[in-house]
Amino acid sequence: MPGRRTLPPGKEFWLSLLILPFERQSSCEMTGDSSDTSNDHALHVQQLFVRHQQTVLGYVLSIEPDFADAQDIVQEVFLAVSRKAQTWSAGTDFLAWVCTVARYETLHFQRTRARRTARLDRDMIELLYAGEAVDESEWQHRVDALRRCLGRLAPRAKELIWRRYHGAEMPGQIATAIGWTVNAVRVALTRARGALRECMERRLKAGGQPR
Amino acid sequence: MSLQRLDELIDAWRDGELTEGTAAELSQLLRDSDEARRVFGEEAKMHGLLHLAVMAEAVEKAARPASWRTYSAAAGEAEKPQRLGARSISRKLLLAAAGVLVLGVVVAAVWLHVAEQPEPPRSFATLSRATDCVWDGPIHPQPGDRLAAGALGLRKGTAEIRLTSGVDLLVEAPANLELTDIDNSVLRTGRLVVRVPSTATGYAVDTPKARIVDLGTEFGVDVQADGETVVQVFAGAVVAELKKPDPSGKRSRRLVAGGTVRIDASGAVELQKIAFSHERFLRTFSTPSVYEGDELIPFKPSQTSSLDVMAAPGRVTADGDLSDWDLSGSFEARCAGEFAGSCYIRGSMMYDRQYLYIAASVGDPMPMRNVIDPDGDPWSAWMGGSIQLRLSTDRTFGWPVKARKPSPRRRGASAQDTSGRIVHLTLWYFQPREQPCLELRYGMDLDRGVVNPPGWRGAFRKAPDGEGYTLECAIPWTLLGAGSDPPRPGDELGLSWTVNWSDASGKRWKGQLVEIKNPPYAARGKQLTHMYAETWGKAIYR
Repeated sequence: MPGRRTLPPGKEFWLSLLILPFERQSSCEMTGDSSDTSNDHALHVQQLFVRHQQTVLGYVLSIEPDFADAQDIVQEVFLAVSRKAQTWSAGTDFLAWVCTVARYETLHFQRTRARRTARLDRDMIELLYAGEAVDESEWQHRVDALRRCLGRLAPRAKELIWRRYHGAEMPGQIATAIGWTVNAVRVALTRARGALRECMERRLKAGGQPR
Repeated sequence: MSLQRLDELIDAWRDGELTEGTAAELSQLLRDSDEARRVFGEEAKMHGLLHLAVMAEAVEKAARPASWRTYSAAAGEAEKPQRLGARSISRKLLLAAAGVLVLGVVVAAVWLHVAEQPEPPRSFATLSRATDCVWDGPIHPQPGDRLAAGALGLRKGTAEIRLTSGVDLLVEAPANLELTDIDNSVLRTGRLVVRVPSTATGYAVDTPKARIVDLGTEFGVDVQADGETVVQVFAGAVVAELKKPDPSGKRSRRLVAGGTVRIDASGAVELQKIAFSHERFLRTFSTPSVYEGDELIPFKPSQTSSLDVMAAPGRVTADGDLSDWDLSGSFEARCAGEFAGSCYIRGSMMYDRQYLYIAASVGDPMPMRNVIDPDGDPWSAWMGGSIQLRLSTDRTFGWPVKARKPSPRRRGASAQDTSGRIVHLTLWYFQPREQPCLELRYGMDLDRGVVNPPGWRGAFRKAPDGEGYTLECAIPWTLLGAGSDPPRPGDELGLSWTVNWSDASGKRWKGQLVEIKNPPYAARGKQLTHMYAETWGKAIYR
């Protein structure tokens, strides 16, 4: 492709996630391979994963708060889901199945590769998350409500939230960058999160629809 | 279970600061308490949701028509100074979100589009910090964004721009500034303080009337809408070159530290010497510094856990003269370190059947400058310099008061949480109208409130040396939820005081002192008196 640039690290995965299903579909059509049925099922699972991956990422972040690690975990989940595609039966709750896979992948990742060494006990993660039903539309409604609420934050609070969740900066880094103390950043972030939570709940209660 | 401790542990979990010890502590807390598990679950989910919401916003922002003057930290990789590794993560966020929002062919199209984009214009600056910024025009940079040549309209707030040469530009709104190149800018209106390192000597600021050329210095330029320009040198020297010669035929003037000139807006351009004033410009990017332990100033742990509220000896006139007061119940607190001499409070309270009286003598290097309008944004008034009291007027609440800020993550709110007899008072002097102001908020939810209600009286009086002020006020018990049942001798009710200091602008918070606290909370890092009434100390009515 003329003018095509080298992909930055990480970009390949996200593009492969998106393009892979289509490339594979194309390949199947051309070859008429006898393993069409199982390939179609695996392809379907991958397509479903792509459709739900935002929620999966959010779910993983709720267990592993480090964004870079969470991204790596979602990559692992994609590979695991592809490997185990045959164990999912069409018609059953796909997201529940993926989240179970994601939870085990997260635990495995935390034990073997995580950047952080101290973490919650494994039994605690099971206790916290094992029985939790993940509802795609509920997550989406909440994300949409939060986006609206972000627009209403005071500029300073928005700057902090943006640094923390877009720049993935930790309070200490934010404090250095803007000349506050770490504690000031923490307090301000706590307040901003509190304001966002209240705003989100208010909107959901009022039946706020996604924009 | 201590909710405050749980909050601290969740913060540590979220920010990757759990140690083996605190991880075990958090696990145990969660193991032992359904409530803790529910709170943690809500916070963890919120963490994921916030990432997703911000990602979606970032994608939408990136999809808007590209600005030619500013672009996100993802661009200009070769020039970008390392910013804590945030850039690559931001890029991943965008890509992750893109992965969700577009599929297959769409991605390919986006990919082609991105691949064929022309190189962005060369950036030479970064918006390093921004406080309360509202931008005019199409450019709305965020801190960390790279800036190329172009105009910036700053309607509100303060912005700091760092050029790659090391030059710092501190812009104070309202301002219209154009970054021309690495060596030049144009200030059409507004205030600008320029700090030039020796390696970048020669930096120039053009204004409608003059061109200010640095000779290795720190200087301020103030351009009014009519073109009147003030140049003030804080360190080093500059040359002010007039666009037209002044009546004496002079075209330029060299200014050294301490020098100030005004270039008149009238047809005949004049170069006049005027008095140097430190307060003419904001020279530092002022942000609040919050205390942690007793390490930072002007914060320090609370020293006082109770205040004697004395019976008023007679008629009290709220005029800023405390000669009619019984000051025997006063408390005194000073900030730590170098601020101990200048930032302090002596606070007193009295009462009778009709009124609660509050008096304070405050050491404040920037006294009575608050410019936050009670009719506009009283909620933010505390930041411009103020005194805040939080108190309970209901003896049935006892002490410590258990009320706390209701939270959606906690089921229900208690009657105390939303009681009209839990009152938060903010007292400030609105300088533009020379008006003493009072805001009252009720309950820990702070949802209901009044500003400057009828019936209260207050006065602020500046100290003779200009280094502080005295506040005196009388507030009817009816406004404090206790009109029919005011406190009686022997009552011990919740109370906490906070003094807030601002910078010279009268709107930016510089620090605070929180006093009259429940001893277990006196030295805790978080001063959450606005959230947990249990942190309040005691008012003992004598």
